[in-house]
Amino acid sequence: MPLLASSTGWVPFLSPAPIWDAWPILLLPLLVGISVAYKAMKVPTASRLLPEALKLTLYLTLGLIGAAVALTVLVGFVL
Amino acid sequence: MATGSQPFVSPWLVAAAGWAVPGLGHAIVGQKWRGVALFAAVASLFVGGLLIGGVRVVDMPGYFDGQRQILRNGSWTLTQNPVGTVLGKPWFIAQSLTGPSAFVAGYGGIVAARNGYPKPTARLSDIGVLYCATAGMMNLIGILDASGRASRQGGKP
Repeated sequence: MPLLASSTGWVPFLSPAPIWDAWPILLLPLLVGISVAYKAMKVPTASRLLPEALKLTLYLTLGLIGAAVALTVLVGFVL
Repeated sequence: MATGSQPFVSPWLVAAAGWAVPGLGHAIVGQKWRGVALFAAVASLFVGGLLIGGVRVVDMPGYFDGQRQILRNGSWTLTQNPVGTVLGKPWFIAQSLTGPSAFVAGYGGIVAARNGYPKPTARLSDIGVLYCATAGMMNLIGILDASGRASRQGGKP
């Protein structure tokens, strides 16, 4: 962390992370967090939490990719 | 997991505990693993948002440029018109559902602004705000779930 901070000027929690070009990747941890929080309340046993959360993450990711493709087609070819 | 052996705890107390510490409401009603999982998810999202955009993504209502109190007719707008002031920064409503940590982060943002740390650029700011607000919304679902479980154990909501 100190090496990263000294090489990029990033001060954790005070300045923005140096990830300007990789921001779409940030979608994945967000979806994992949402899935784990949601499934923590839904699944009957703790052993089912991880597989169910991963499945939901996959569905959400595929859904967002599908929405992105559909919108790209709509904007690029239809409108 | 059976919760019938748990003593009755007021759903309001469970909700308050769930707001103060994400997952604590579930722990109180005997669903410890749910509480731990919820805490891990909500805390990861909130801390992740702060790491991505910096502490200034939690923008406290009532402060101009995140550092000076907004005054109207000599008094602070947050005390003069609290509803209107808070509605002016709706993201904070969702972020505040994460619990006291949101207010600590908001105060940290004010201190950071006063020390010259700029607001993040638009996209990173949006993503950081989204992470913290999502953490609050997921905690709200957790609060409602824990409160519902408490009321089903025999009390009234």
